[in-house]
Amino acid sequence: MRALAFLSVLFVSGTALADEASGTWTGALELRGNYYWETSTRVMAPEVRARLESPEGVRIDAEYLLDAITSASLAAGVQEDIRFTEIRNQGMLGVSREFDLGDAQLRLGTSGRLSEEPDYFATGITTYGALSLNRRSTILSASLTYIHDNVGAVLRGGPPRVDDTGRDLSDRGRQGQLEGVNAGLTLNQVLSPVATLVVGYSFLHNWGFLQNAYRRAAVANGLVPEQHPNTRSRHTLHGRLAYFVPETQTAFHLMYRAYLDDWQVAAITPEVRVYQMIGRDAVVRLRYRYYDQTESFFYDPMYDGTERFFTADQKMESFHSHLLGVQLRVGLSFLGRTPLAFLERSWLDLSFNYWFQTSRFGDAILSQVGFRTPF
Amino acid sequence: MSRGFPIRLLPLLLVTALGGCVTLAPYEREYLTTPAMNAESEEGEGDFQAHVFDSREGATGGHGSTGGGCGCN
Repeated sequence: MRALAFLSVLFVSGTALADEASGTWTGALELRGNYYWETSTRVMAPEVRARLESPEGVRIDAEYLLDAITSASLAAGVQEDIRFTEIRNQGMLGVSREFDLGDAQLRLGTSGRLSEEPDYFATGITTYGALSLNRRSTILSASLTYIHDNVGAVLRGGPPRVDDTGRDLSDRGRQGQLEGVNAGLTLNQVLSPVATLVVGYSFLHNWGFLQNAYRRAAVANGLVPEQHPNTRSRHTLHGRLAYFVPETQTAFHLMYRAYLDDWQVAAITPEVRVYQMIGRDAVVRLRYRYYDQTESFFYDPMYDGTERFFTADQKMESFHSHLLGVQLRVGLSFLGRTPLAFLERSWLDLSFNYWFQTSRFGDAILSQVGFRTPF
Repeated sequence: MSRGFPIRLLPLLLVTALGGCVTLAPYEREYLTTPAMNAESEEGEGDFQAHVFDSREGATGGHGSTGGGCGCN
């Protein structure tokens, strides 16, 4: 698995438009390796993404991701101090088509997503539309997603759990189901030849099994299973202002997200990214991201047992975090006069992020590498 | 942290966006098509990051995130 994940550190991607003149299909391929580390969890996640586009404007997107999660977290069903590795498979397939309306273009599409792991099966279907106006200087987008997840539980560690017939009893089966509807609106506007702005709003409503199947909350006389409200409504505003300085070939991106839900969790996420072009084929990106949230109305480090809701979820606490990151992207145009000239339009990227968190998850490292090529 | 601030920020962002509308011809997009300005090229990287943030933070949504989808929460 580690070898596979290491190989995934090589990746390929790119974007390309269909060639209307020649009538040929075009597309892009991206291979990506993702790595996440924190005290109790390691994640290695290779993925492949592909896009095909026809001369008529039909676009097909496909993704596959393998999540190898090594954890010793009680939140994942560990009954003692052991480490285990769990595999999650995720796939996505989408199709869309752009319609020419004269002065405007309308893209309509749909996509489906599946995620499978031993104790969780998630499905989602999305429909979306994007209206391009003013020579694509203004793009209005809307999306609607329906989520349906089956939540299970598998106990790990301790003595083997088998019945008289030898059947494994570690799999506790289905614990509940989680459903949700997500609606989003986004405006993407060119402000000038050197500036763009994106603003958006999304609303997510979940209902069903919203707690973790493994976690136990501390009460005065012991531990009790986590019990969260069975509905949650979540509002998010987000924006991104990008500005390019031609004299220095530097771009500044200011991002902001504001979040509020009916569990009284409120959060802000400002972020700044600075991109410095080095020649035509290399970019260095520096980023700083800050996150700050309030605690939910039912969070308590110690319950007396009379409460209606109990949680041991770190994400229900008040905490903040700082993320610092650097990325290098390099175009491979220098391969143009070599036997690898077919890769001359490709890009490589490598990033490293360090995450300072005051939550009980602790500090973390997030690193990614990718290779992307159009065809 | 002020909870009212984000709501008051929305009209400001909308006024900024609508008031600054321009229409650019393709030949005027030289700077907007540089890798430093093309946020779409970061989608692949951003999707996994959004997944990580969703599993470690109480907030979700925005910048490509839709929330949920695995047992990591």
